[in-house]
Amino acid sequence: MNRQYRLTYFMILFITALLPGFYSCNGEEGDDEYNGVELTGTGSLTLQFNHLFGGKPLKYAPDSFFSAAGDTIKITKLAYYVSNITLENEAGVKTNLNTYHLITESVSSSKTITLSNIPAGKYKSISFMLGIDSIRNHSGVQDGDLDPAYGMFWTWNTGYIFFRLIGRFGKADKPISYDVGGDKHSNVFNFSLTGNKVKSNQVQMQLNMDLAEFFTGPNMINLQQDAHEVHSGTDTQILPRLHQNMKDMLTLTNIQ
Amino acid sequence: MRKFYLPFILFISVACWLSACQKDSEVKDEVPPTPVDTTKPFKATPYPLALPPGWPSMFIPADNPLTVEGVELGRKLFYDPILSQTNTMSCGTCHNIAFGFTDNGKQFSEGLKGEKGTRNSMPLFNLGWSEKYITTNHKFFWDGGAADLESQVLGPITNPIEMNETLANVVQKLQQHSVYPGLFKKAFGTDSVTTKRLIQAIAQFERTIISFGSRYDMYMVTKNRNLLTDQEWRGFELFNNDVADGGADCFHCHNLSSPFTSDFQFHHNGHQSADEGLKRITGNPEDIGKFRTPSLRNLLFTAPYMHDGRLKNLEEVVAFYNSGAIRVFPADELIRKNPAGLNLTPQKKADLVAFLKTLTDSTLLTKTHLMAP
Repeated sequence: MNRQYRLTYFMILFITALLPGFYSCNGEEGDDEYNGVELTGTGSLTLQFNHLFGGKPLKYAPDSFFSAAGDTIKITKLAYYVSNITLENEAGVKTNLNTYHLITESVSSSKTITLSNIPAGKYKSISFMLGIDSIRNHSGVQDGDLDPAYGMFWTWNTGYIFFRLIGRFGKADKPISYDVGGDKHSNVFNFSLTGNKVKSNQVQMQLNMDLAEFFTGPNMINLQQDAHEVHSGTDTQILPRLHQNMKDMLTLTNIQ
Repeated sequence: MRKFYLPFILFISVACWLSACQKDSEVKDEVPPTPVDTTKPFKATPYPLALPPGWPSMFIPADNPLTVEGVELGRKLFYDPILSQTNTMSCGTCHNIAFGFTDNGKQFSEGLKGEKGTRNSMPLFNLGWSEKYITTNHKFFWDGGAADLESQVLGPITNPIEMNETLANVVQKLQQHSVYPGLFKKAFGTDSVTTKRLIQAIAQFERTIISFGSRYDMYMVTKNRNLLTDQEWRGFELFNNDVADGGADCFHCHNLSSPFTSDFQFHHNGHQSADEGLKRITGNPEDIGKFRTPSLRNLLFTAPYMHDGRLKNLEEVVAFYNSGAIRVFPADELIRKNPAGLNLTPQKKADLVAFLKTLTDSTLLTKTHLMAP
């Protein structure tokens, strides 16, 4: 009697354990798949940055765009640093890949960051910095994408320029020249990966940077009144406002 | 039976060889793209740095040790006008060894477009100790804008009113040069010219500019008081005493117990000027008009004085600090605490100037290893 009971109990347990497996075989999506991004093997991760202005693909001058404040804006240069790409796994352990990337609109290869040898794992979020962390920012001159020869470096006040937007505005084509830098002005973007159910050894993510947000954000920039140049990380007039606006510039649009 | 072994052994050896190759390529894949060939460890000759007796060690960054080849390359670069846009101006143009590495007695230096700057060319010596004892990121330039000696090099090269050249151009010119790629290879292992190597080499040379040998240095080593005259000792006493004690109160900022005659801080010394100084770098309103406390070594060669070279000679410097007019906000508390000035008699002023001249190291000007190669 006792033995029989135990056997039944075991059978029920066994079937219960198998049930989800059977069910998932029939369904379109496997419920046993991690509800996030699962990298298999030592996989690769590709981040593709797409540049937009008000939802339209960004094109350099002579193409023009309209800001929310009604300014006509032409862009001639967009460049920025992406660093400290960090993956967080399901247990909450964060892995900083410790890489630094200069992205420039005119260099199409720079807009795709491919990172290989990513440890296999189930990842629930990804974050990265738009800018350079203060430690590296004050470690003097570096090589690679951080070579000051790219011009993204203040030579009179040691430090990297995190984000550069140059262009013209209005009928008179007055210059716009924003250099965002200084330790206080990096932005960390954190994107949840849950709900995606992607399992692959080559994961690709699409990110949109919309420059209209730079001029709109929470702080509307009106170029008729506001400063249209900044070249110092210590500026207190427009830089803190732009820095805040930049927090809304990036969206993660697709993972596959 | 034995002949069957041969192909087997061959197979094993080829397999080993192949796997060895594979291992090599795997290692290469993991190494980030860098011009240094890691398969052959490169080592340049360590530079035999001679520190003056009793001096502390200087700061040398871990990734840029002094090497004979690096210092020699840096010396050549320091004196080469190739670093400027028109190939007409070198670091040595405004940092002339004959003037203690300053600009020939000029108040302001002229860039290659003929435009003048707003600050006096700084003397270059004992820089490795400034880097060591300034504890913030504000280590070089009058306003502390450079975080380290290597980064400092970038300022004058790229400043439109100085050498007005882009780093990309400099690197390209050096890479295409008949001699430089070979020198970079000797110093860094490959003939690749990069911004980082360029500034590392110049910083290496600059760290070897050590000034020691003044009469006051000799006194500090031997404690022989006869090395200074009675008048110079009277100046020494003025230098090291508070105003309340009849002194000139110089020692708070220009500390004579170390060979560097500086507290390695930034102060507003009471000058009136539109130059924001350290505030331009930190953005902190309290830093307005603050500049680095310079060394008092080699004053005889480095006139004129102050960040903007406003004072032509040492008599003017002493008259400046003697005045009560400068002793108002935003001047440093150390200046404001004596609102009536120093009240120095003409004799005391002369004594003070006499002492300042004992800090002169004439041997610096004749060191051939610091001159243009």
